[in-house]
Amino acid sequence: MKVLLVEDDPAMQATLQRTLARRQIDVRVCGDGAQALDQWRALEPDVVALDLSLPGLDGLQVLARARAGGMRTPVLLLTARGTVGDRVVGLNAGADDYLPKPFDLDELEARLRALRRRHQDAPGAEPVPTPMELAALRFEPDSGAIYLRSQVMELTPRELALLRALMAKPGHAVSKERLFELVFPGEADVQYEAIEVVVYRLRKKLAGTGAALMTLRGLGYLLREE
Amino acid sequence: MPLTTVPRRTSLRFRLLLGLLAPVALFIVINSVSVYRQALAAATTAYDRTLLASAKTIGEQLDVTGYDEAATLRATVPYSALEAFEADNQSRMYYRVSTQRGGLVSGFGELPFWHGRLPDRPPYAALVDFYDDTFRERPVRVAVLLQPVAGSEGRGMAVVQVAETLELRQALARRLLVDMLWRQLLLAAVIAGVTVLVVQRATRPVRELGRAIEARAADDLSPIEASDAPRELLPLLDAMTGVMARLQRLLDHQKRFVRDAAHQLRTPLAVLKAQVQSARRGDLPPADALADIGGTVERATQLANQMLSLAKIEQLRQRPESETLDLGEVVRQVALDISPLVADKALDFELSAQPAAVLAHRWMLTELARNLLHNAIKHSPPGGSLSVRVQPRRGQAVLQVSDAGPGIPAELRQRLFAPFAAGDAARGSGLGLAICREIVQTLGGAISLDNRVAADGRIVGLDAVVQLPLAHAAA
Repeated sequence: MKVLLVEDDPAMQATLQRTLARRQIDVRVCGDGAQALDQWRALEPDVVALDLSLPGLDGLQVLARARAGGMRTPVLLLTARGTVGDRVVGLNAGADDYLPKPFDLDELEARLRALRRRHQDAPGAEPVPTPMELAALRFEPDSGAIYLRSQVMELTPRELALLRALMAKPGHAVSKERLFELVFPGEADVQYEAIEVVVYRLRKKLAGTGAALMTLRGLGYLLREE
Repeated sequence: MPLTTVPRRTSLRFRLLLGLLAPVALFIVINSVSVYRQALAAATTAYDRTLLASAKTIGEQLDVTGYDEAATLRATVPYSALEAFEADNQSRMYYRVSTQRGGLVSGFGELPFWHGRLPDRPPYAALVDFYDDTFRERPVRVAVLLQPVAGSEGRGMAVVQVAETLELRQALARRLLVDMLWRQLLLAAVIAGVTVLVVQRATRPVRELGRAIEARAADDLSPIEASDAPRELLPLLDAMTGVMARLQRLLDHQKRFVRDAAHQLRTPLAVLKAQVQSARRGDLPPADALADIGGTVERATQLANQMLSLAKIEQLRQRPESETLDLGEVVRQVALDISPLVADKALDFELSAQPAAVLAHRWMLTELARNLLHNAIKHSPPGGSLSVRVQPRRGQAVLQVSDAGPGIPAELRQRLFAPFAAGDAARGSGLGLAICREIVQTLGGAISLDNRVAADGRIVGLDAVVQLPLAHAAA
């Protein structure tokens, strides 16, 4: 994977180049907005990571010219400005994603890879589901089953739907309303409190798995490692 | 950025001159036309009289032989007879004496014979009429006189025509017009002069004020002293004083903030420096040192983010557009976002959110709720209770966040909301509450933090209460 990093800070250039290279991302750097377009054309990178404040031409101008020139490479904007309209302006100018500085290296890598994936997939294609794991639980997208260590867990369809929804965002609360829609899809006549019954049963089945189903009263539920 | 066209500035003087002189000029034109007409009419009447007199003179010198139809007229008019009437050398007079049927008796045959009718009510007792004609291709005024001629040898009727070229009449009218035009021009000039002078005088206070403001020091934002300024300028002065005061406040705020922020940023940098030096010396294993450094960087990052948040509030304050939002819904969303922190501390969480419409920027409400919840979670003991309540009460949307933390020490209460005042530096940037207060003030609400005290006097937690004016549902 080839990334063009348009960024004028040498320390940032060196750090990103080094760390991303170890993760099989070939980073070419360009420190000047005016030269960025030429390099962009010459290198044909998979993704362009573009800083907004640059000498020569600022990031938004580079972006606007590239888009006007028909270059469709996905662009991740990096900026330390972070003021109200920046994000909107950037996305309107044709950026595909936006990452405020300072950022996490893992986050940067994930965004870069996601941009390349999205660009290569046919537009509108579903993202490929990845296996999800939490504590000793594992969700296999192929079979649609949840395994406890190597055993398939015995769950009712409603419990499975609930657990999958919570495992999709481990450690994050999912609102009761959202869970209700997932567990009782299209069932208007079901009592709202029915979700609590499913939660109660699932919680019992999760005992001893290392995963705990936590209630945030008035908000929703979340799954976390004990 | 699109180029904006600079609006053309017209001066007050120019507008006043245009406004005054344009009607005056129009008036002069109309007046001139009418005066010229009147002058011409008066000249015509005056000279017609002379013309009649000359015709009569000629008529009196006629002889007749034979009666009525058989009468033969004879004129003994010398060509010089009219010279007396040619008042100057400008106009020429010509005459023609004819019989009633048009037969030339004497004078200039080229002068066309008169074929008209006498007016019913002539201005003179004599049988006379006046008309315009051309003679030798020049416009002439003609008097025609039906002159009865009687003598010892006969009686008859003669038609006497006297024509006069128009130079004299026109010259007279023109002289009247020119005289008048000169006077009008003088009037216009006086009006213009007076206007310029008055405008100049009237706008002098504006120019003086401009000079006074221009001459101020760059940072002088004190009210403008102009006791002698005319009353019309007072709204402008008041507005400017208001702007100055706002700028002063903003400037003070920013100066203080920059100073505080610089101090605050130095703290994590100093820590970082120490940590790096310590790590270089090998005081602790690299992994531990890096973990420490990472923590410090995290703090500095949070500080920078929060400083940006404060700046953003100020920025949004200048842009008053906002939307009607349900505070309960916003708080619910924030609670979902930060639920991992709740999970980490395994807090006993409860949210009770009733709909409460508030007029605000979404970012502000989110930031407010996030800061309050962050604070509460930060100060909560593991497994402690955290209750968040949103409800409308007496025209206010009330958000209450109650934690089971240690509360606020009395000595901190006074400066709780000042930037960089709060608690111990290691646990927060000290800007969270300043951000909350700024937001609440911007939205016209109130915020208070009170310790919750048990029956035995022990502090059992902190209640953070925010009240924001309820938005009246749009009709």
